[in-house]
Amino acid sequence: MEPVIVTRGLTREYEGGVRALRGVDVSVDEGEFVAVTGPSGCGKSTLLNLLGGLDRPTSGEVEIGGRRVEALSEARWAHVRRDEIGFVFQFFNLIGNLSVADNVELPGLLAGLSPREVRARRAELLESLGIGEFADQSPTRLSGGQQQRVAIARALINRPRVLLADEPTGALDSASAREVMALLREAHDERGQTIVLVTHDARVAARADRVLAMRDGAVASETRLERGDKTAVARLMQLEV
Amino acid sequence: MARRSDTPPTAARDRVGALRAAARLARADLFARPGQTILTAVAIFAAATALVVTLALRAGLEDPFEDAMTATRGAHMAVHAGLTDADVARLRSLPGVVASDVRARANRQATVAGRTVEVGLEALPAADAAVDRPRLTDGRRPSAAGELLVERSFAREAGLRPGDRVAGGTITGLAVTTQQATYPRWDPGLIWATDVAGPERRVAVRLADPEGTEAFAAAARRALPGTRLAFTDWHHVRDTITDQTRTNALVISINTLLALFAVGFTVATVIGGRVLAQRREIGLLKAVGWTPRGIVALLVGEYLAVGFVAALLGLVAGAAIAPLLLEPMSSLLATPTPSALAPLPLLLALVLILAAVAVFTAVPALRAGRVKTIDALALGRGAGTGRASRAARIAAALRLPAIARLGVKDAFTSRSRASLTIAALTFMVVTLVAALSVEATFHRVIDDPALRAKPWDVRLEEPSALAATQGDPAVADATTISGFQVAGPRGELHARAVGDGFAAFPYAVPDGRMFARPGEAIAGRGLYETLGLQVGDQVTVRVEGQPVTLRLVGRHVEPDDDGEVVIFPAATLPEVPEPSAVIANFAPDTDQAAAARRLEAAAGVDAELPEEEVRGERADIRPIVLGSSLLLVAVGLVNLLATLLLVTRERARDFAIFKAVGLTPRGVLGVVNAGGAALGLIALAIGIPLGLVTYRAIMAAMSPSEGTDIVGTPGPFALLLTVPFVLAVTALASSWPGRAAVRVPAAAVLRAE
Repeated sequence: MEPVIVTRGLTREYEGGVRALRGVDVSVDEGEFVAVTGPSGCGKSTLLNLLGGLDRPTSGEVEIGGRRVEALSEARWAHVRRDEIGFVFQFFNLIGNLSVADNVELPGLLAGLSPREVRARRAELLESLGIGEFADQSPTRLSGGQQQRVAIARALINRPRVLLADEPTGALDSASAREVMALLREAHDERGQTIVLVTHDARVAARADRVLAMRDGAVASETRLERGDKTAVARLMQLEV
Repeated sequence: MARRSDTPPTAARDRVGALRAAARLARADLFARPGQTILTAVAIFAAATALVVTLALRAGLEDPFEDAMTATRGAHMAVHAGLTDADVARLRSLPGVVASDVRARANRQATVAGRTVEVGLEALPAADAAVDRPRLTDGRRPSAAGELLVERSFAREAGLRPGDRVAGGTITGLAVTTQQATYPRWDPGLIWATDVAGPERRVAVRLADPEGTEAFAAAARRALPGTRLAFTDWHHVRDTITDQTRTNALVISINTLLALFAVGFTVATVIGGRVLAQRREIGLLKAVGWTPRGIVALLVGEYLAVGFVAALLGLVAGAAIAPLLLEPMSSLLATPTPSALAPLPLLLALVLILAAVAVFTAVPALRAGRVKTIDALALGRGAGTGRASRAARIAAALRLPAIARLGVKDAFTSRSRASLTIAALTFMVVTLVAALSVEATFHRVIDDPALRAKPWDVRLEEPSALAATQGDPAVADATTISGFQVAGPRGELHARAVGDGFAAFPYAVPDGRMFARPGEAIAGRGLYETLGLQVGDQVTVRVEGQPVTLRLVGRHVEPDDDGEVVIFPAATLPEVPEPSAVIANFAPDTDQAAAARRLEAAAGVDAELPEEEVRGERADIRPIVLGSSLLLVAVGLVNLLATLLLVTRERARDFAIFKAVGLTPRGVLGVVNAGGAALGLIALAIGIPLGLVTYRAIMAAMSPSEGTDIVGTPGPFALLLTVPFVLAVTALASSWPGRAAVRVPAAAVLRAE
């Protein structure tokens, strides 16, 4: 498999000298499901933001699909996100004054898809995620789990190479969290979606193929998980200690 | 116990604590968002500036003639004749006279700007003269022989300035007076000199009852039988000045009225909008124990502090700008220039601005204070109905790009703020349309002098010049015109009689038709309304005691004498009155200025060109209309800027999301620009027709005798020009908030709850 994401010596230092990342080397293959875990403040969300171009590294390299992107302009990064990256956030980040359908269709329209094509993709995605009936409603009227499904649909509408998910279950009850993880797993298994997921929850991380455990701004360990490995959660929880 | 007694009582301690906390919070809030604080201050500053200018202009409009009368201690009656000292003493002691002044007066020919004109030379009164004290506007009072003071409108017309030489003296200053109306409508022009002597005297009196002028005149005639007395009644001066200045006062009134509305809207939008954007903070304050009343007090205090500083600066700026508009206005209205530093308007402006700040802070703060704490804390997490606004649906139906649709939707996120901004922008458009309408009106009147009841190209105040005029090769038609008083059914009326060939001088007759034969007449709206007549009715007037019956066949546009004027062929009268002037039309393609000069030389008097007169008036009023319009545009710009910045702040999360899903910086700018443009387009759609209707309605209301007849409508091209102008203004106002939106730190915003 070709790596779709590669970072080399990635660092991020904030004002005041706080070093969130201290030289991170990561490689994610096409079709891989990688979880990044670790305690609060270890740098996992910073890593995700740098992979998605929402933040800029202090030094180091980022490659998406074999192309160096860390020095791209804001506008070029926007095109990379539009075409190759889908984001799912902890707090959904849906636009309250747009309907569910408008929220999902927005990236497709920005990417230049025809309105007909966008509508078709949106309808298919919402149906497959079980929220087709809410298309015309405001997302603020939906439950947390339903809102996160809308966010997943939005992230997938442009069929991105990579789905970046930042604590996607962090604001959900356990039942909703399980449903959302099942959907992400399904996207990976059935469509071969590459996913990089940040979580501090070992049970969530255990759904991935590979887990990167971070500590103090660096990757402390890497764990490959087999499907059906009943000990995975326990092993990952040990990593967190 | 001793320590306990040192502690202040609980309530007082609570108050001190609350005040300390409030001061800390207010300071933190103002300094946390310096850009918004500065913008709020700029909006209040702009509003205060506009208000000071507006109040100063309106103060000058209140009763300009009355102001001028007070400033000059104007006479109620003046008698001009060859008088002995005994005659003067007799006049000054007539019943009802409370103050008087006498001075020598002589009319002389003088060369002014290369032409020989008649000037009225009058002995300079004492600086503290009891009556008719000229009010110095430029330069200084003469203090030595050979120094002159010139009446301002005469100086303007003749191009005279202090330092110039005229009539054998040097001008040291200009002054305004109410002893006569403005030149050239009232001539000769007036010059005061220190060394005027002669048998002619002018006795000016102030009366205990200003309405007792007729009684005074009768008493004067009785006191000096056999002496030919010429009277100047203050009513006549007032009517002449008011007729001349009414249109100007009307135009300025319209603009200042619009400015007052725009100022109110700006303060409401900027302050109210910012307080609404603080609802989440208000929830937090309630969560930590603030009462709703305490929150209102905190916010009102915070904005009053900003408002006070900004308003003070605005007052200074307003007082500095106002003279630029006040000077041309006072010149137009023939009054002394009012001071922009008058304490009352300044204090009133400060009180009005601070009251507006307090009200527009308190109302949204009270509303925000009523929101449940838990709901207030949840604000900003993407609340909304999800339903597209009407504007957004139109944008979708027009298949506009996604960016434009997002921008339109964003602009309407807060409907109340969007409505206020549209209203403020609409006022801006209405002002622009009103300014264009003023231009169109002047243009129409210039094109058709008949709309000024002057359906001729040139007028010469020398009836004997008829033959010379008719003989001029450039003249196509010429005749005489007489102006005189006739006795109507309910008092005196102004009448004009046009000589033979009147058909070549058609008046503007909106109702009925022009008179075609002796016995027919046209009249102004004022006459019809005063006498309760209609077109087609007959009216009998007395001319020199003889009854003359006129059939009213039309209503003409009459700007003078409140429209109480009747015009008919001179041949109607059994005895043709002595003409007062010659009127003529030039042949097509004539060099009118050259022909007028020729006629002036032949007649020995000035030629009056109505077109030139209107052009001069337009040139005078343009700076005022343009100045006040620009002020309104600036206020509208600040308003839009504030609104879009607040929207940007409220929508920071949305902009971060847009960026996360692939919107480029240019796209983000486009969203903000589209929002501003949407508000601007709606304002244009409302403002253009509203401006036309408003201008017409105000003209009709404020000038019923002629307003609707002379009102001009700007052409479609001129109106279309407002579209790019307003869109450019909105684009300018959108550029700063657009850049702020581009700079939204997506990672940080999207991580936060």
